[in-house]
Amino acid sequence: MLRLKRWYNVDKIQTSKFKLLPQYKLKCGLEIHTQLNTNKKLFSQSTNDPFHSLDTPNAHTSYFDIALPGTQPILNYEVVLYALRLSLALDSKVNLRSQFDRKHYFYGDQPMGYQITQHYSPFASGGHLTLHKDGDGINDIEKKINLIQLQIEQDTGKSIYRDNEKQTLIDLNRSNVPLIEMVTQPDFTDLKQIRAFIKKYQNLVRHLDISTGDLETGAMRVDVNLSVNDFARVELKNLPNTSSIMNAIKYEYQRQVKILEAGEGEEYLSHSETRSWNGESTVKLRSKETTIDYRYMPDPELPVISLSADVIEGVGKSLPPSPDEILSQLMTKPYSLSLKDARILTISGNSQDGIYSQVELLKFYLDTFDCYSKIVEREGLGEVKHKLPTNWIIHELLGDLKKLQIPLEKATAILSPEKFADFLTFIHSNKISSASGKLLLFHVLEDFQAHGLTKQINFDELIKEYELQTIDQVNEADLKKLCQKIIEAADSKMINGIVSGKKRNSIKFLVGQGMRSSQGRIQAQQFEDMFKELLCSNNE
Amino acid sequence: MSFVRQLSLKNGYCSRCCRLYSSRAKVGEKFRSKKEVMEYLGQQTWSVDEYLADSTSEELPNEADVRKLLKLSGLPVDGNDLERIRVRLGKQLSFIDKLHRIPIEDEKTIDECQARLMPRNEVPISYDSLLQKIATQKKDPELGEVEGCWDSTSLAQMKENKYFVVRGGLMQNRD
Repeated sequence: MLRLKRWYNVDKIQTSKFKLLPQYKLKCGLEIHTQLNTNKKLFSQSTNDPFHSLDTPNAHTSYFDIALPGTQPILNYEVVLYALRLSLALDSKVNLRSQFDRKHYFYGDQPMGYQITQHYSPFASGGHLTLHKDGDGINDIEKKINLIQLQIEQDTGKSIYRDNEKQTLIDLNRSNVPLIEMVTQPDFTDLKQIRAFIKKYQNLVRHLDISTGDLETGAMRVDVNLSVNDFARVELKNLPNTSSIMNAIKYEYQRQVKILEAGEGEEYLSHSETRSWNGESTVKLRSKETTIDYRYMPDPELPVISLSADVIEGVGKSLPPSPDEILSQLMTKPYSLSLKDARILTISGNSQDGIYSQVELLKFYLDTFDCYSKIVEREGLGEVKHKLPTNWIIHELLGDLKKLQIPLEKATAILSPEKFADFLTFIHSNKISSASGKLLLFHVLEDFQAHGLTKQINFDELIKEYELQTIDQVNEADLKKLCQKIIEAADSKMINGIVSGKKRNSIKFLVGQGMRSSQGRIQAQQFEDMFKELLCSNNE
Repeated sequence: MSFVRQLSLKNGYCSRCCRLYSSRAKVGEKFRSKKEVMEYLGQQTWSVDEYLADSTSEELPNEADVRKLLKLSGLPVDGNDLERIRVRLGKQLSFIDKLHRIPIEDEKTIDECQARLMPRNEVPISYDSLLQKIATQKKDPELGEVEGCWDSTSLAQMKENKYFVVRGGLMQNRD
């Protein structure tokens, strides 16, 4: 009898309307492959730079990388150090005697016919990454995601499929690049947790400087295993970015819910399967009947990684404070930053932006804050304005650097933290206004970009040269005259709005006009006071 | 098939070692000349037939297993004499079976992780020696590790613009 199979497809992902239904419990785990940015590959000393060598295929390939017969793997110990850093940062228990095993399968980008991985005795087991409501934006106050294990393994080459010619081009620059596969317990129960975990893990590997962590370049690849109401788990693959991960989970959840609502869970969801995301839906790749037999065996050509206990201690001491520790440090005294600003200084962005790294930015901020506080204390300038360094670094300096495309590291040649603290002190003590400060900062950087480092900056001299110093004693009559002129030139509807109180904030526009006319040398507050005085008297 | 491990002779002649799978494994006297090494290796001390004759299992692997193994090995099923393969696999299995049955001294204390062609009693790496190893690792041009020292695609029959080329059929229908 011909048996018709029902296709449980979900027409479109209801991205905006998506919600988890309380009677259908979602349970997810993640499997994340992270390319380590060691200088050399895992079992050879070929250069490890697969992303930047896309234009020069097979340039970074040794005899072993392309699997010439007779070649043997020689372990690169950089990888062991990187794996230790990650394992300890995740509170994972390092296995002092881990081993390498062969996982056999045939594919064009895997010339040895097997991948060297750690199947029987992985590098580390256990551990966790804890998510928080405040720092990570999840619903629960705290959510601990437990880890199963971390293992070291080789990456494969890269395949470029040319379907028309029925050929595949193979680039083995990526072959034998070191990966860490990290597997979590199925502890995730909603999408926010998954998104937060991926971000946090990505930030951690960048923070530890063991990987670029970029999903776009494939330096980090995420597979998801998912089950609904404890039916068999489905593994989702081919998820190139966060939105694919989220959409694939939403689609698969809705597909399984549909099956369960039809009462056909036993028939369709009792065996695990692997499904691939094609951008619109998940499609079946493998099921129980077609599971690959990998014929794992210990690799007889590689010794056991035998570590002495002092390695754990040594690497542990060399680790930087965790991003969570830094975040909490920045949000308390003396820095007292907002969560938003603290996150900017703690979260590493995409490494391809190139203007600054999180480590550089944080160091620049902390050093600047330290110098600025010391100057304020030494010169008796009152209270430290804790927002001043972060406002000027995050909002002004970074903006200028992006505009001018100057990397922070390069800019510190003229703007060291000491120099930047000097600059902040001028603003702190109202020697220059914020508006003048902005002009001055941009000018200094633009000049550096055009002419390079010609001489050390002397802000005092520059302020005098460009007459940027704040006018301490503003002539009341002159200020009044200037403000009246601005009011007359302004749109009468806007003026009426300010006077009636309906558009009170429009006064900022008038202040801006005033700052522009005075080239920022008169304080904004003085303008605001004068405008209020004039408009109130007009009203009376 | 030889189970004698190739030891370096660079620093004089190595100690005489017996086959890893010998039933009486022990280290013998040191070789004194190359001639002694050659004589030692030239001696026939065992034969495959002797082991194959001592088979405990007459049962041959079934055809479905043979088909699966061919598939796993990336070999075609069509055109292969499955019966002949069954017989040959059966012989190999009985040989392996014999190897498994060889008595080994101190079997209970043997660490399976050490079943490798590697020094067995490795010294655990300390933190300093780990850093030292990393600092002294070097590219070896004799292993093709130096960029530009060789063109890896030069050995391939099918190549294009420095890419290796694999025929499409091989990349599909993996299952």
